[in-house]
Amino acid sequence: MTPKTDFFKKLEKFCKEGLDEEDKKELETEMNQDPEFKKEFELACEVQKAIEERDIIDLRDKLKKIKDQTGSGRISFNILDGFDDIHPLSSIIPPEELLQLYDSLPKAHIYQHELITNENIHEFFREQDDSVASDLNSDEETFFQDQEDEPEGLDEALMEKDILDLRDSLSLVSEAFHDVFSTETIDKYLNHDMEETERKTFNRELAVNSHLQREVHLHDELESALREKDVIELRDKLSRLMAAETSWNVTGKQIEGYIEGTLSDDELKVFRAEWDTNPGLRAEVILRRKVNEALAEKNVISLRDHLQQVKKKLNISESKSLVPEKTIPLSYWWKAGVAVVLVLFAFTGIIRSTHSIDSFYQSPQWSPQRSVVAHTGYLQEANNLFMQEKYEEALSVYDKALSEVHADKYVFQFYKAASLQHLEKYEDAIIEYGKVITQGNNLFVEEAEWYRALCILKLGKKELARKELLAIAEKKGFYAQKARAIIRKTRFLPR
Amino acid sequence: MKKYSDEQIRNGILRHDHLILQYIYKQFYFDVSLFIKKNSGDEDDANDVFQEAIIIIYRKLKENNLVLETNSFQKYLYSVCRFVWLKQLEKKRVEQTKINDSLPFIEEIYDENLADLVEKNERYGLYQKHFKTLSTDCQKLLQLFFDKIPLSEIAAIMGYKGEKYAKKRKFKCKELLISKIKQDINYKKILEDDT
Repeated sequence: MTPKTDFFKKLEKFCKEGLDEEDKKELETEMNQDPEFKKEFELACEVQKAIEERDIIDLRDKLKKIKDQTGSGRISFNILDGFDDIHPLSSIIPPEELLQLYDSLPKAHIYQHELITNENIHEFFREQDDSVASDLNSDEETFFQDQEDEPEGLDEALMEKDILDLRDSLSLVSEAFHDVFSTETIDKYLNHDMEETERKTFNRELAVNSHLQREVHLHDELESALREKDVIELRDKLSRLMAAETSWNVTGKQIEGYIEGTLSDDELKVFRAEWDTNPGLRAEVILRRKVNEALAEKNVISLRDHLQQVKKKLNISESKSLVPEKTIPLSYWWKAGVAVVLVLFAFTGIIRSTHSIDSFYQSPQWSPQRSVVAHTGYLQEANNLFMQEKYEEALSVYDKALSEVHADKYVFQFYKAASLQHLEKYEDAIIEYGKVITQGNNLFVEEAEWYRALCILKLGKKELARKELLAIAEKKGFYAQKARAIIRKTRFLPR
Repeated sequence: MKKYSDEQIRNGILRHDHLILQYIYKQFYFDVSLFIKKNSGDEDDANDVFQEAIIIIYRKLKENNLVLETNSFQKYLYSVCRFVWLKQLEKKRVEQTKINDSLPFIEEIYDENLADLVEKNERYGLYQKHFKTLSTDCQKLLQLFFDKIPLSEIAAIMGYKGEKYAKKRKFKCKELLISKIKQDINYKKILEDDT
């Protein structure tokens, strides 16, 4: 049995491998015989070695000191991070000094790593002191909390460099893809104008490129569609017919005669035959009867006239201001008023006589909506003259404006035509309206077309007027319904 | 008003006879318009559907592909109108179960052949509509090309300085036409349906 003091001496020597051969053999025999002793001996040896690691003990002490000194708990291993944009750790231990304290590989690694990547966490330090590690985590948490406003997944999306690259490449491919085959190339292909090699290349691409397949198909179909002159003509014919015709087989005159009870027996027989089979005719007769009832309300009509007069007076009094807000809705009143009056007159049959063209006729009134962008000085002057029906004087202002003002001059052109129309100089008005229409890029084309058609009608050129009105009806614009109404009614007038 | 037989109507459509077209419109339009108005449409829809139905019938007649029983033109026309309108409602995502059927129709004609023809007519109608919006100069030029008129002759007819210019101008016109078609919302819908 080895005495205790001797045992510790032997243990120290054994751990440092300084035991002589005889003692070593004796100790090993004892350990082999007693496993408990062996365990105890190995533990003691490890403790011995641990105690001798002075540098590590010192480092641990210093780290503890650092933690105690900062106290706030905000310190992390940012001390290694570039040395300038961090919370001052301590004036006592600069990083270099810390590095010198322990020269192990992980320490050197973390130093370099921190300097380069700005990363402030490392498992090595986490293991040294849990509390420091937890400070580090709280720093991280603060950072991520600050980033809460960022869209979810933004970081991940930005990190997907491969996807970003792929997307760029696809855009380039797509651009190239759309540009390569022009209309000219596709036409050449379809018309068999390509050289053999070019054709082969095109065919190869066509076999794999669905976009190109669609383009070629569109070009091909387009050619076939545009060769269908007969279908295009038939469609035009049907459009014209449907715009100008009603879906019943009796004239407006006969309908009015039926309502008024003035049809002869023969006429009534024909009318009844149509009435029995045509629900469209029945609907028309009901509508006209209702219109007649409405027209019988003379008091309401009188009130409407009165309102029109009040509105006109209001317009004059407000003409001093450029575009008074109130006048904008009032112009709608005017348009609606004209529409109502026109439709009512149309249905009452006033326009059945050969003189009835006059009842369709209207000349343009002042509307501030048309003038919102025009030159203010002339506009105000012209506004006053036009509203006071001093058309000759207004004309000279419009001429002056047209020679001096270039921007938005079509408002003046339109009103020049309108003034001429008021002065019953229809031929001249037609020319001026024509200028507005030909220019095309202005707000007055639709109105100019309408009033030009009315001027033509006024000159008695019914066939030409009919063509103009048909064109208006086909456009399905604001005046389409009125144009159709006139066409319907004027069919029975001598041409 | 004079009554026309089915055969007279068919021949009239083939000849684009004004009197016959007028007769068809006066006789049959109102019912079609009523049907469309009862089923989420308006007057303009009715006009379009009626017009396209006549054009579809014209296409069938041209192909000699229209067999009608005696006195069945009216029913056939209504059936085509109904089919065209149902297709449009389908595109507008209106449920067909809610259809208010006021028109008599022949269900047997609703086959793949008619569906293909209606689709083709829709596409061609779209192309032709945009063609009509081109300047008359462009329209005439493209027509001459499609009629295979020699380039030198086209240049002379159009008053261009040379063949090269005529060709260049033709491409410009066609490019403009194609871009108009591609921008059309209905063309985009057609593409969606195809894919």
